[in-house]
Amino acid sequence: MTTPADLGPRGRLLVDKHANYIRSFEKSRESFEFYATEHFRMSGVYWGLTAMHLLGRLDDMDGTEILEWVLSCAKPDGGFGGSERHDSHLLYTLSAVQILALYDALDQADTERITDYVASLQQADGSFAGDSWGEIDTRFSYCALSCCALLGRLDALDVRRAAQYVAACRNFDGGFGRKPGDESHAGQVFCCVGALAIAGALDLLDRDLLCWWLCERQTRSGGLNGRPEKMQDVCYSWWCLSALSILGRLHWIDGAALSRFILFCQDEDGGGISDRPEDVADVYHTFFGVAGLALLGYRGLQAIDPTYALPVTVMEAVKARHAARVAAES
Amino acid sequence: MEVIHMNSASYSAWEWRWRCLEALGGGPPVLAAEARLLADLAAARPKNYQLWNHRRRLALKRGAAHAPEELDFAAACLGQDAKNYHAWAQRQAVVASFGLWAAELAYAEALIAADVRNNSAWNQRWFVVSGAPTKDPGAVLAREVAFAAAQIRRAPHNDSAWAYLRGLPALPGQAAQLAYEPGIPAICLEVLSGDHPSCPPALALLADVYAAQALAARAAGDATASAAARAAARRCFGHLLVADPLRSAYWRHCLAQLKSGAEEDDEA
Ligand SMILES: [Zn+2]
Repeated sequence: MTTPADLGPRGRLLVDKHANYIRSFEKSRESFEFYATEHFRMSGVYWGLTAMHLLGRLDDMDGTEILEWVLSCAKPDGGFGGSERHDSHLLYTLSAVQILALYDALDQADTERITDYVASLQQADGSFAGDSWGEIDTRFSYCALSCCALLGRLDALDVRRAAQYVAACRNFDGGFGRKPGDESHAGQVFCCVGALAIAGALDLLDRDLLCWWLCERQTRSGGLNGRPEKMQDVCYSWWCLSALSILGRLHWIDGAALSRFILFCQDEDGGGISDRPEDVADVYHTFFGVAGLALLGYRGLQAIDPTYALPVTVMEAVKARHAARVAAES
Repeated sequence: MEVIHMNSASYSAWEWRWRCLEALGGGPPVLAAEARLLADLAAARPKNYQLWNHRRRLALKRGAAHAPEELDFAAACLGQDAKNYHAWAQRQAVVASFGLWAAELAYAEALIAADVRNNSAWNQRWFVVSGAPTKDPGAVLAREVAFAAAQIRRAPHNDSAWAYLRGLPALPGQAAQLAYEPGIPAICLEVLSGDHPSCPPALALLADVYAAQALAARAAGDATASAAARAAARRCFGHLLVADPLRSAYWRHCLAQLKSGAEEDDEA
């Protein structure tokens, strides 16, 4: 598949349409999508809000109501559920903390209890379970490290062991899987590179081999796939690109061709971005498409931090907050 | 059992069930009945982590005699959904625990024979080849280079096979580096001199072999051989700028690295 030369109305980012598309989820609480996605709504809200921030439209959202809802999803164990009615999980705990960071509201988080919850999920080998059910996955290593770093409490984890476990999931092709021995996948690569970056342990990976594997993910369409011999998909614009960006090799792929592929996946009528040009838009791919364009420096978009998947200005505020706290304590 | 049917992801219910099995003495009939039940449950919920976790414990407790049964079960799941990573992990656990390396090598080989682009099967082959104990790592390396080369002949543009071939010198127990394994440049040259003179993965691997040979020659103090290998690598990267323009920034980076190597040669 190739991307046509003339993209028509899709030749530029349809900012207003995407902002309206994302806002429509907030308004339509009766809609099917809203209920169908209830178990991971916290992440859906994070995707939507971060996309709005990058588009310069966060003020269109009702921040007070959103923060109230996020805090209502806090559970007695210290974690957050995907919604009010679901149990804690690391995935949604990170999304909740990211939303608080987006609104510069980390002081509303119960830092002590959240970090206790996250630390309780670390295993003897350094890995993390996603929740009390015990599934192990390097995605959860990233969630744990990112969450504690945003809260300024990395000291609550055994960071060295966490990094060693992630390194043990490195494969012959330079990529990473969910567990040792498990196949490389671009989504896991983002998580593992992000985790190692936060842990200050990027020396544990083979930078050139991994980045070659990542830039091999670009197909003729300009889009990226997640594994060899698979279809391109907008969400890998984020998974592959963020890892390349963290490792200082973003320029190894053809950014112009990728931008055109993402723009081609826009819904020019209803707004939103889909995984591939022929499919239906959703919030997940809208966020990853916009975030990919932001990493590529698309004009008019706010810059995004590749490690934390939050706007650069938000990360600056988070770091200033921690610096101020450290100064006050010393 | 009702609780598990209602919420098969409930951790404590599975833990409790495991303790019951052990309390029942965990004899073969009890365990066999449990395995049959789990097969039914897994068919309905192929991606449930707790179920697979329970199943793995059960398989390891039932012992080597029942391992083929377990591998068949996981294979059936993969037949339904080749991406079911629980099933791949289950096979890895059983194979490693009972040393069924030869059988797993044959399984991965059959999947690759059926679909040479099945990246998961290539990963499983790597798991076997890097995990199986061997007295002769050199023979394993030669066998695997020959295997990868045969698969590349079937589909010369298949990234999975090329990534596997490129990784082989990193197998445990190998002193070999890319520069010293003659089978690797041989298949690259074979592909390039045949119907695929611009095959990007063949050019890329061949360029890296030449670059590695240049480094090795320089380390040995042979400036002439180093310069010749570097020139050969430069020709490949130059060809890639045309053959694979999507990654031209990467190829230019490789060319720049070669150049800095040349400057070091001049200084020496
Ligand atoms: Zn996707």
